[in-house]
Amino acid sequence: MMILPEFELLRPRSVDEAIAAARGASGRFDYLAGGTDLLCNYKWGINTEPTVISLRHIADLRGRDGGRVGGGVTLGELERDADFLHDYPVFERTLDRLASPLIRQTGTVAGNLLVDTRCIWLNQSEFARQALGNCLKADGPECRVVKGSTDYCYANYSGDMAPVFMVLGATITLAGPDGQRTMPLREFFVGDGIERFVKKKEEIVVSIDIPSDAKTLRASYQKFRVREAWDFPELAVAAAARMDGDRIAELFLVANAVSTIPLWLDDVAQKHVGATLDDASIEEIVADVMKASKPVRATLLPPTYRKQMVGVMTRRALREIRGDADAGAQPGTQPGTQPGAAA
Amino acid sequence: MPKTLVTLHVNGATYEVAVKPQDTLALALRDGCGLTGTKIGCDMGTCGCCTVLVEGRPVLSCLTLALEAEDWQIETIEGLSGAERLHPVQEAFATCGGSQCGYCTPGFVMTSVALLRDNAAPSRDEIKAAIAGNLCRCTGYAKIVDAVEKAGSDMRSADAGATPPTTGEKDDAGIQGRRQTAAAGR
Amino acid sequence: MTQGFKVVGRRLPLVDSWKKVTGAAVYGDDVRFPNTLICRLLRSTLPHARILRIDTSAAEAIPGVRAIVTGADASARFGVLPISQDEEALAIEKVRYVGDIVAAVAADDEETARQGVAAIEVVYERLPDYFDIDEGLDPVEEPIHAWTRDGSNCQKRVDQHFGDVDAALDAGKVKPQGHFSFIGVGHAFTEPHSVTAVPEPDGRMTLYTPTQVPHYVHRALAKVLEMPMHRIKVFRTAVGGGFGGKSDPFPHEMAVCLLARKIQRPIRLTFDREEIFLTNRGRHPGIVDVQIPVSEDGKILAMDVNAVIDGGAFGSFGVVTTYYNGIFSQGPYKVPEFRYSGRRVYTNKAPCGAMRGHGAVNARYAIESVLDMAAEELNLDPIEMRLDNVLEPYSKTTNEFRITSNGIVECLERCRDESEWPSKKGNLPFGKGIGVGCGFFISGSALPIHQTRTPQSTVHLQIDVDGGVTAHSMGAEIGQGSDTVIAIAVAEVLGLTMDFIRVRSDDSDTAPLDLGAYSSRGCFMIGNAAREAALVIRKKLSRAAERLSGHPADDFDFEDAKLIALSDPSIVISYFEALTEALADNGALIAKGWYQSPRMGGSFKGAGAGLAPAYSFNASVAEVDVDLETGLVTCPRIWLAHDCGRALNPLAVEGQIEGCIHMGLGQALMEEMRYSKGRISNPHLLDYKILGPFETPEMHVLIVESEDKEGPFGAKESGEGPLLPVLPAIGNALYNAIGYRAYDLPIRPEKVFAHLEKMRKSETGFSKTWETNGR
Repeated sequence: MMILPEFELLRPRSVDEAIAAARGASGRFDYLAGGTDLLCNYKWGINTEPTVISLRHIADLRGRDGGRVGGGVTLGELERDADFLHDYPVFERTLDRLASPLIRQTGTVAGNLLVDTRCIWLNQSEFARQALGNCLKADGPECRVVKGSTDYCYANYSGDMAPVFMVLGATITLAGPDGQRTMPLREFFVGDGIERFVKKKEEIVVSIDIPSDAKTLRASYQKFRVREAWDFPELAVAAAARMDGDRIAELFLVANAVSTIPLWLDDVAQKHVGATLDDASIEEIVADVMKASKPVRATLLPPTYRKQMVGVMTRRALREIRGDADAGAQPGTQPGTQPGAAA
Repeated sequence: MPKTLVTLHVNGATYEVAVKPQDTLALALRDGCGLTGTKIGCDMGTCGCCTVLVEGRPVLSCLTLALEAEDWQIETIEGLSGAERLHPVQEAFATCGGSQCGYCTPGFVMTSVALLRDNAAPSRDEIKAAIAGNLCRCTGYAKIVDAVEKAGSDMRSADAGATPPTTGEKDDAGIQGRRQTAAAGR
Repeated sequence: MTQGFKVVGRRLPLVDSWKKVTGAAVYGDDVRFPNTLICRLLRSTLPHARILRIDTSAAEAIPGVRAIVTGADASARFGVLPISQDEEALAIEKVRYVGDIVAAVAADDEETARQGVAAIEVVYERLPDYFDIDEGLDPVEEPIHAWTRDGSNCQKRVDQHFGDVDAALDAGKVKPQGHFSFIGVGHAFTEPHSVTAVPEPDGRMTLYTPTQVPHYVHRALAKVLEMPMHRIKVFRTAVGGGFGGKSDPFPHEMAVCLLARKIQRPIRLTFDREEIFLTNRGRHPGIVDVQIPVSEDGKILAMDVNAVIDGGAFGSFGVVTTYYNGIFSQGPYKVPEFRYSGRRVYTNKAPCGAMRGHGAVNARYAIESVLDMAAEELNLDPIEMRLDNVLEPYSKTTNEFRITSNGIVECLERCRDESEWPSKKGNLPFGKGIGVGCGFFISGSALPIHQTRTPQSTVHLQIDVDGGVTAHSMGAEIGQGSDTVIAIAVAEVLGLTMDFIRVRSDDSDTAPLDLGAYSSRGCFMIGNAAREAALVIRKKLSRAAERLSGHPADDFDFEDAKLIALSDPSIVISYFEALTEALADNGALIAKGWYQSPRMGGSFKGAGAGLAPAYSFNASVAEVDVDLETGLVTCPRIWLAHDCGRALNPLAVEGQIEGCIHMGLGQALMEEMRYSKGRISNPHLLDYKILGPFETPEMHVLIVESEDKEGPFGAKESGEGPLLPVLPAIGNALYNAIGYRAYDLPIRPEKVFAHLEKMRKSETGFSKTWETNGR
């Protein structure tokens, strides 16, 4: 059987208490929300800390109000929240294929945003890491994915919620020792597989706020993996657009699970504002998104293939936004259909 | 690390269990309460063998800390059977062949009980979506879906005042008929 | 099709399912004894190294660490096969793979045991690593095992030649061939290995273990502990899935007993998921080359099969696997000339062994793929061509397997008809395909592993005043339903309902010998033994009825707990009346039934391998959908017809077949044990992907009953054979869909995608230019 390492468990009842507890732990702590990510890593002995601060009992982190989603809301609660899904229908498909229904019962929105980066070399037991050779992110001298990289970890960002929130223009509100701050989620993620985001260790994700004008965006999240449940994305694409007639008035794109952070592709999106969503324009966007995605061998499928699939998922996302009934081209596409050549 | 006494409310009873802060609920149930019906298969939240109900919702007890569970109402496989007969879901898993080696069964049963409380008449696709966090290596899931469907129908009959079928075999035609119409594709 | 049967043929819940649905079943880790210590194992992180020194002193000094054993504590080697006793309880001179057990620590709790393991110092001398089967046939610097011949890592060579294959190759109108490679797959049962060793106050040793083979564990323990078998008890706990993965005596089973003996306290050890992958015994990776010459009218002239399999670090069942990769190639077809060359190579990887469809699965995929190539070249329908080549019932194969009942024709025809094959084959759009595969498998190995004259299966029955029938057997219930088979056989013969029968199949002290749950032997052998035992009881009760009624004993039928005179139905003696009479001046009714395979087979070297008292036959038709943009392949529906002789319990037979479909599809589409320099890199259930409910196709299970003359009530196996046709049905359907022949498994989306890209850029684009009319 597996066991968790020794730690002290603190169970604050408010955000302030939690932050105070964090300050008392001198940086050697982790926050615990649903536990479905952190405790797996702990069982594998990956970057464990002597103090664990549970955020589960903090009522202020729960609840949803309009586009404001508390960081402690579980993915399952959101999945059952008919009003929320009505306002932001893109989440329906995002949520019902996220991890597994059991993970979603306890996994939280903030936990999914902050899900630790993953890598075939990292997500192993202590024994296996010893046998395979340790990596930069866990006790090793260099990255195993990109040999020779001693200061940059290439572990893959694998959360499904962040890219969707990003293309909807959501902001994130953090509470920390110096009070609260709010920033666009697209500015939240930075750095390598170790740094990951701008959040200071003591800060807590209080809420995610989706602006109300996002209700009129047309959005799509297309995720690629081998199994319909359990599997983290091998890659994914989130897209949202506001149409002005048949022209793109606004476009937001994220290539996900192909880098250490969800890639906010602002340049690509801006370049295509004003275009129509006909097949030719879609293919131009597809080519640009592919070019911007540089997956490495941190997941099970080969990076060259994943890059190709970024193109396919981009195409499917844009077709869905266009309103194609069968944008997600089901297996066994009809004879004669010739999906456009991927550049 | 010293142990702390935690009060767990399981199947309507109260257990005082000494746990370490890092002990999982699965461990506390099995070792502390002696409720070994809850199984540990992967210990990493993938297989669902350890599923218990917390406030009516299916939860992975291998990724839940025992200390966190202090104020929760917990149900395990041992708490389902009534005074005289099994829970209809347990009954159906046996009679429909939804359990072979049986190791995943407690987890599947708990997930299914939660589903049927939410949705008394789930479609086969809804059943599959609900059990997609539980792994089974024996059955290929077909007879598990049969079982949940059958349990739902038995529970609806019971609610409607009809006599639910008792333990034993089912009529061949009934199962075959259902299996023929079962659209199990994606 | 119950033909007068009262219990046989009904859809019955498994007799042990009530315990399982309530959480009452006691699996390995549910065994609890007071004063138990917890064991953890120190495993090698090196693939191949000599152990120079083990220092346990720091570990022993840790408070709460109670005992440590190493290779110095047990010198005897063991293994499931008498011919390959190459395993050690704890590594003695060297470690042979990453995961090999070096020491075992018993401590007060899991944490302390882990600390103890971490504190053991081992000094190794690295040895050359051998991971690749290609280099396994040549001499090497440091063979993994000293006893392999000519300094190579080749453990076993099989060479068989019947007739003149070269002449047949000259004569064939077409002679397609294929080179296929297979990655290893694992059983992925849900229950981790978990064992408890209890030193009994009288000096005996008891091991509680979820094993498929209590008897072989018993033998190995006696050897390693150097204790007589009667001083050891093996108790089989509920088994949370086996599939061949719990059919070896294991080093960890030995290690906990050594600890228990040393410290005289119960010892419990429960694996984490990773350790299951390290212990492995999964399907051998390897390569299979097949060439099949076929005449113009579609007759198979010969098969030429060549297999090299990667055994990993130990023998396990591997010698048998080496045979099975070739010798099962023939059925279900008539193959006049046959040649097989098989090699098993030791490598410094986790040991491979028996897995559902043992040895036959990969070769079957290769053969059925090449048969489809022949059909295409000859412009024949693959199903019709197969029908033209099948073995007759009650015939013999070229390598002298005795074929008894054989429902292969009905299997193929029902798959063809129910899948609407004729209207689909050749008419599906690009990206959709339909394919067929066949299979056959043993109903128990006729030749026991230990060649004694003791029957392979014995069942004891006991009835006392309460009227309940207790059946004792060591047949290992692992979820496949062997306990239920016993209960059905007894209930049928004695005209009782199932609730009268209680099966005790867990305790080696009280159960008569049975070889265990492997080689699909249970239903056929245990079923026959149980039936024989019940017939003895039936005779005793009939005689009692004769004493009570004056009516001749042999004229009674047994039904509804009554004995009814066949010639005069007004003469009815209740079961309890007869029983009371039978018990009078006699005491409990006791009976024994046993099964031993008849002698059969040829006299050539290796003739014993693959012999079975009966063979199951099957066919499958599968449809696949290919996502033309991504290359992902899915199976929306599958038909599988299986000749199980007679379905003693159709519900259970369906369950076995559906489970086989699940596992076969998994190997075809996504399962693989990945290695990085000999280290398993996906030893957990997130990255070792077994199918979930969304990947599960619509399954059409078709039971074919050929009524075997020697099977219990006509029954044959259904637990393993149905896996065989699944993989080739998928592979052939994929070829039919997009013209891509998967020469290696699993079918990786990136490879399918690369093929599609090539087509997309070709002149013909996405149009089918192959198998267009099927005939």
